[in-house]
Amino acid sequence: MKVDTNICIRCGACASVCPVNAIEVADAYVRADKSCNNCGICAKLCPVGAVMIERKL
Amino acid sequence: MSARAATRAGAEVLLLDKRRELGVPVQCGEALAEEPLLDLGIKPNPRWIAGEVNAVRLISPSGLEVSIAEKKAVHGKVGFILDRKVFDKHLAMLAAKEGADVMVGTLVDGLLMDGKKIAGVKASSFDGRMEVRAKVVIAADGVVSRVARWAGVNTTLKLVDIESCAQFQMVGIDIKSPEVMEYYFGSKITPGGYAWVFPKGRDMANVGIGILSSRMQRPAIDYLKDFVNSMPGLKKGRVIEINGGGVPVGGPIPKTFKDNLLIVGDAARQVNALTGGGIDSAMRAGNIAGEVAAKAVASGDVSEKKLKEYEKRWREQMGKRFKRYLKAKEVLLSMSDEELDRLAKALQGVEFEKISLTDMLKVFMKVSPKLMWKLKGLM
Ligand SMILES: Cc1cc2nc3c(=O)[nH]c(=O)nc-3n(C[C@H](O)[C@H](O)[C@H](O)COP(=O)(O)OP(=O)(O)OC[C@H]3O[C@@H](n4cnc5c(N)ncnc54)[C@H](O)[C@@H]3O)c2cc1C
Ligand code: SF4
Ligand code: SF4
Repeated sequence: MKVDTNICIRCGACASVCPVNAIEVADAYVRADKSCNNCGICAKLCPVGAVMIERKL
Repeated sequence: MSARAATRAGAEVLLLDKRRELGVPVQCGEALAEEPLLDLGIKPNPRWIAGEVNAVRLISPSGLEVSIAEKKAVHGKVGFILDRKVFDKHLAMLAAKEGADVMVGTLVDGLLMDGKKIAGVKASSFDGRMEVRAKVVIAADGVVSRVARWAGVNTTLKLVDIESCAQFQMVGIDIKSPEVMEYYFGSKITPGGYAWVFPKGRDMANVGIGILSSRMQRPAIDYLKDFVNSMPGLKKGRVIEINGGGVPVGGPIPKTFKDNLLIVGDAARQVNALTGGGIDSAMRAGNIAGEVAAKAVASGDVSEKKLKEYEKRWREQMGKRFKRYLKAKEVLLSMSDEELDRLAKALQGVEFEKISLTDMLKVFMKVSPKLMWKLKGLM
């Protein structure tokens, strides 16, 4: 996952549902570490639609 | 609250928060009853009170209004709409005044372990990386709740157990009655949740929406824009702040303690599943956690055997309530728009003064016998 920092309100909702606890919610940024498998769950609930998922075809 | 309580009880306390400014960004509708403040000895202060409320108005999908006048309404007694940007700082200040050390702008990014034992936290701050050794770690890291997960406690939420919320702080809007909190229901406006208008005076309010994440088709903020546009009194206003967040509505985690660790507030999912209110319970549980942790440290035994007193005490105080709210939420989720409208219609003109959830349910049952079976077990 990638976060559009212009939209993200740094609420941390995405991190609370991540099954692999990959998301770090800092004061200035929100990002996933290497363990992210792009499952897309976090994107489903982001209240402002800031999460982008890279789909591997 | 934990920091204040633990310092008071004689412990040496360090309060870490990743935020450089406490309370910012706001992730909250900011409604709080007066009762928890009184119980916890916190004097209401005009610096962090943006509005005072004494009634609740529920608006059904077709627009029928049910008014619940004053006191003991859904959120408890007469309450406040806070300014959490000031309130959160005020709570930290209370802890600091008692003697707690406070470090803001400090992100906890891992646990410090002595073998299998939790021995503190790792963090990064203005001063670079640091390790803090502690006998007890209190994880009060909000909805994100990573600390507990690092310790092996599963706090990961399922999409059915979290409301996705977006909120505008708006000015230049029409507020009919600044002392009334409004809740709007209906699957069109907000699937599996509600929209709210919490007044901050005559022409300003927190206008927000919460949607069950599993039922969400678009980002919550899009539903919020639709809601605002559908209300002429709001549409004419201006948005001066956009915020939001996730509200856990699946009830508390089954176990909130471990050797050297206590889990508090949103991190432990101690939230009223029906209203989404969690300030009250986070403060109460936080206070208990601080007291128990300090006592354990003083006794030299910080094992889970000693720390489980925390869970025992908060469950005694709030456990039953959490269960009932959870059940009530499930009933609400199961109701169709037609059922909600029928209920609202039946409740027109019903005298609602001095109502509690129990009394309210009794009235619901009377007016809508069909709901009886759904509501059973709630009383
Ligand atoms: C849109 C919305 C509306 C709401 N409306 C209401 C309402 O009207 N009334 C009500 O009672 N409740 C409401 N709630 C719920 C309420 O906001 C929470 O229940 C309450 O804030 C929980 O308090 P807490 O201390 O557990 O967590 P928080 O207030 O979230 O505090 C957690 C703190 O931990 C810090 N933190 C997190 N991770 C780290 C880390 N790794 N390192 C360092 N610090 C960290 C954060 O910076 C934050 O300061 C609402 C929630 C939302 C999202
Ligand atoms: S849920 Fe969305 S807005 Fe909230 S922190 Fe994650 S990416 Fe940002
Ligand atoms: S895409 Fe899945 S694994 Fe990656 S951060 Fe989001 S929830 Fe976690």
